[in-house]
Amino acid sequence: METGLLAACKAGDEAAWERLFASRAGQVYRWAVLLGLRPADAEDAAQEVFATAARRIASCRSEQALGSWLFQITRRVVANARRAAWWRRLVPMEEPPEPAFEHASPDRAEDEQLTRACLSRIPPAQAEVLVLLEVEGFTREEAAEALGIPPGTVASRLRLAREAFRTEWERRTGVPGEAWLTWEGEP
Amino acid sequence: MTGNPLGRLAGARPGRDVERRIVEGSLGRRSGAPPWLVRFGLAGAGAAVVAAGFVVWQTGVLRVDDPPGAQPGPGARAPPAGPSPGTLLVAGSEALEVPLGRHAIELATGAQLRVETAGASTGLALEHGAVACRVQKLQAGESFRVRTEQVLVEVVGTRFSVTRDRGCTEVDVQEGRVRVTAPGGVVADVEPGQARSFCDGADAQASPGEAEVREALRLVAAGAEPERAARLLDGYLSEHAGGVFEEEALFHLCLLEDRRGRRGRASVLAERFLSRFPAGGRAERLRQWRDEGRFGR
Repeated sequence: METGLLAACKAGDEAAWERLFASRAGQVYRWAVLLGLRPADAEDAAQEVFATAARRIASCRSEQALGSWLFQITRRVVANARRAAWWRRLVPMEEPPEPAFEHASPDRAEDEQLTRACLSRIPPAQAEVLVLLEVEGFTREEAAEALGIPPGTVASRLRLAREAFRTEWERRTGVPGEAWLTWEGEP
Repeated sequence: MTGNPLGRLAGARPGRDVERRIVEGSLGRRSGAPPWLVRFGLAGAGAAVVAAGFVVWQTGVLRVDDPPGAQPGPGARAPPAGPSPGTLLVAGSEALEVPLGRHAIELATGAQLRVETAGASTGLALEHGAVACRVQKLQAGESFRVRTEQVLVEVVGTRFSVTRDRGCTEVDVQEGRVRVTAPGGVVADVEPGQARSFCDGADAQASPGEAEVREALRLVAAGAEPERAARLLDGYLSEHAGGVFEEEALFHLCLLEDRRGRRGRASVLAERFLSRFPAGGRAERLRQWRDEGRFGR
C-alpha cells in the first residue's frame, strides 16, 4: 500500500480517497461476492463499504490494519444485504448465475461458479475464514483481527470449513478432495 | 483442473467498468453530492427533482437493458419516466410525489426508498418511513413490487401504502388487493380496507399446504429429487385449488415435468397456468416457450 495514504485520507485529501478506493475496489468487491452476494449487489455493497469507511476512517489504526478493518466493514454490509435479499432465496430463480470476475478462459469462469456455489452452502462464519486465509492469504493472526475472534478459533473454523467445502465440492464434481495437496496440514 | 479452487480466485477482479463505477459511486457518496450531478450533468427530470427540495443520489449501479457501450439509434425506445434503477429517493421536510411511468408514489416526510427496477417491472425497496402507491392496472408482462426487510408486496392495479418502522412493516390497502410474502413463509392477501402488520420474529400462521410447497421449492432450487418435488406440488394443487401458492406450484410443476421429459403434461400445465394467471413475467415466459414448441404433445 502507498505510504502515507491513510494519513492523507484522514486529512481529507480527495485525491487520496480516490486512490484508496481504486486500490481496494476489486478486493472489497471480491469479498462481497465470495461472501454470497450477486455481482450487482456486490457492486452496491462495495460502495456502501467505502461510504462507511469514509465516515469512520478515524477508527482505522494503521495502514497495516487497513485490510482487516475494511473486511470488518464488508462482512457487516454483506450480512445486511443478505438479510434484505431473503425473498430471492424463498423463490427459486430460473436465471443462470452470472460470473463476477474476469477470466482468461471459460474453464476458469466455470470454476468460479462452482467455488461460489460451494461457499454458499457452508456456514457464513466458516466461509469467511476460507476467504481470508485461502483466497486473500491472510495469516491466522490477521484473520483473527479481521473477524474479532482468537487465532485458535480461526484454526478450528478453518479445519471445519475446509472439510465442509471439500465435501460440497466432491458432491458437485465427483473429484476427490485429496487431490488438493495444499490443503494437507496446517498453514 | 488441479489445485485449490479457492487459491485460484486470489486476486480475481471484476471488469474495469465495474471498478470504475464502484470508485465513482463511492466518491459521490463521500462528497454527499449526487455523482451524476458532478460528472454527467443534469437530466431535465433530475433538475426538477432537485428543485422539489429533496436529494436524489444515483448509486452508480445501473441496471439497464441495453448492453454496455450501446449507442441509441433512431428507433431506440425512450427511457421510462421517473427515476432510473439504482436511484435512492429521500423525502425531506415535505412529502414527495414521484411518477414511475404510469404509476405514482408518494413518500412521507423523512421516508427513504430505493428504485431497484423500473419500466414494465417496477421494484422498490423501502428502507425507512412510509410510501403510498397508486398503481394502474398492470398489462401483460408488467409487475409492481415493494419490499422491506420484512415483506415483499406484489400488486395488480391498486392503491396501498407500506410503512416500515424499525422491525415492523404495515401494509394498508385502500383499493384492490395485494399479496404479501414474509420471511417466515407466511403469505397473506390483504383486502381493501384492511391493514396488517408484519414484524421480525413474530409468530406466523402458515397458509394451508405451505410446508409442502416450500419443501418442493427447496428441492427444485437444489436440483434434487424431482419426482418428490413434483408429487408435493401435484398434491398441493389437488388439495388446495385456488390457494395462495397456486401460481408458484403450477409454474414450477410445469417446468419440472418438462425437465423430466413429460412434455405432454407440461403442455397441459402451461395452458392451465396461462388461463389462471395470464398476466406477469411467468406467463410471458410460458407463452414464449410454448410458441417455440418447447412443450410437445
